[in-house]
Amino acid sequence: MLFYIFKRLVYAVPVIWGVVTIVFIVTRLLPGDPAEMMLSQSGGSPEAIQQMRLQLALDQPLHVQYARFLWALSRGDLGRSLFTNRPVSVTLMEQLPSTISLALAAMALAIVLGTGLGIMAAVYQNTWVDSACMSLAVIGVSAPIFWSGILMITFFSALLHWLPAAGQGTPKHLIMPALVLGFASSGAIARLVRASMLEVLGQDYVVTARAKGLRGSVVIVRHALRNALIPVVTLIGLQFGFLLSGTVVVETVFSRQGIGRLVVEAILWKDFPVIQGAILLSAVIYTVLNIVIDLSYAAIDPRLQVRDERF
Amino acid sequence: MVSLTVLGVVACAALFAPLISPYDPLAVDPANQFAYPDAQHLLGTDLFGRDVFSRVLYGSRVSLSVGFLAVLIACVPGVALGLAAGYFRGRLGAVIMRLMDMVLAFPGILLSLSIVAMLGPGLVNVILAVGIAGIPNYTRVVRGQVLTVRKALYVRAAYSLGIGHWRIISRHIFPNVLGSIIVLMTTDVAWCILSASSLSFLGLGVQPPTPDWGVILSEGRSYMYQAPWITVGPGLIFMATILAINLLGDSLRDTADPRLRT
Repeated sequence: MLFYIFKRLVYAVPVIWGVVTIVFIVTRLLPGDPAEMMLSQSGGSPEAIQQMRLQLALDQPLHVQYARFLWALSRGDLGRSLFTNRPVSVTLMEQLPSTISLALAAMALAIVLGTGLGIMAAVYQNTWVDSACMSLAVIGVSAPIFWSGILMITFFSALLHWLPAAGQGTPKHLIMPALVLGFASSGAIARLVRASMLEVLGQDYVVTARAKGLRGSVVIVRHALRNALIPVVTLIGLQFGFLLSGTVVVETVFSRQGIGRLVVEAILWKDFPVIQGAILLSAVIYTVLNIVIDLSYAAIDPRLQVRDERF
Repeated sequence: MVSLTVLGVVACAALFAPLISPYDPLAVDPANQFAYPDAQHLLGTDLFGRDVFSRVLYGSRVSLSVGFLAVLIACVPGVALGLAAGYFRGRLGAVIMRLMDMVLAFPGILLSLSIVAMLGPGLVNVILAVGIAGIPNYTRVVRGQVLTVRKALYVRAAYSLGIGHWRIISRHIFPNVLGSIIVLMTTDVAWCILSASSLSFLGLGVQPPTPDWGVILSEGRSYMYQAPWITVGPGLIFMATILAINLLGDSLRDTADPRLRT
């Protein structure tokens, strides 16, 4: 098991290196001169701009800039924002908790809703319950997130005054954004849970459990669900990526601070250190999460516990 | 059947928008701002007095063409890379798949955002951004299919007869993975339209005043209290279109493999 964890972590290194390289290439291809952009507001002279270019090593060949970029990254230095002049790493750490709390809340809702809908659809297969659950699931997948968010704000904030329309700081501020994201993500989970449960419910051991007289809920929860969850775990990992990118839209609709909104504003302002840092952070979080998901398979199904492959 | 009908209606509306549209989607009429939906303006008017129904019709042209073009941009190189990775395997396959892993490490829309940041906002750039971000999915799916098909007896027979790689791929392997590609393209259209509209909603895609579903919903967002019809009507049409595409994709997938019936 330890060897498998080690192998997985080693495998992640070239992937993260590739992400870092792609981010470097993308930001170096951004139009405009960063030194000019940084000094344009204070009316920098051509000499000052040239000095800034030397400071940022923009006059160096690309491979030298790349080496400096990797060296700075290894020390946690993501540069400074072109507009606020604050360290990018500090800005990201300030915004990260908001995005993570939104993503986690949405994920929890998606799992609860998706699993519930999928189980009901499978247990009551080919009835109106099945149709209703799958209709909800496909609506979740099809409705644009930004539109759902606008409708929820209108209904729950403007008309009913139950929930705040924008901002953050209290659990109430998290409800609508998490619902919007969670509902969108639950559709895919519900459909997979249904398919997986149907396959498992047809297995001999489940039929045996029913023949022994076990209650329906015991058969489903104790015997069927655990085996049905294995493919769902993979999907949850992929859905977290969807949620991370979904926060970009949701944070804008609900005027929440977060990495997603930071990226959008940085792109509009061409603040390339912030773009670079935020996208890099999101990609690394996603990669690490997928490793965790891979390793969780063994916990769900002991048959999958990896043996030491050296011997 | 229902989804085909809905898609047919939307496609016809997009195709014949200049003939069907009662007004110019860009024509401004400040005296008529925020008019309620009625016989003259089926979906009301917006802040500038523009007819929302006309903007939705023309917006369908933009949104659907973005979706289809982005799918083509994703499909062609994605399928080519998948065929190469699956057929030749070895180092070439490993390099291709590791590259795809690196691209897939970027969650969802963030890769499209990176490309838009590089190229700048605009219709063409958003098509490229969404299309490029979709390439790894095709590569992965096609590679998986090719790994299975290449083991078939007829492929081995063709190889042992000395038939060249290109001919084996084009005559024996590609036709057998085409079904999966078509299913993936169908479901991918919905994702591409949603992604592109999200970028337009954020101000990074199609720019106003060009009508696009994302732009229309973004413009209506600020006036949701005084003029909800700007957002509700177009949003319902948008959702119905995506729903129809997803249901069509499900039907195609179920036809291709009944074991996957959901």
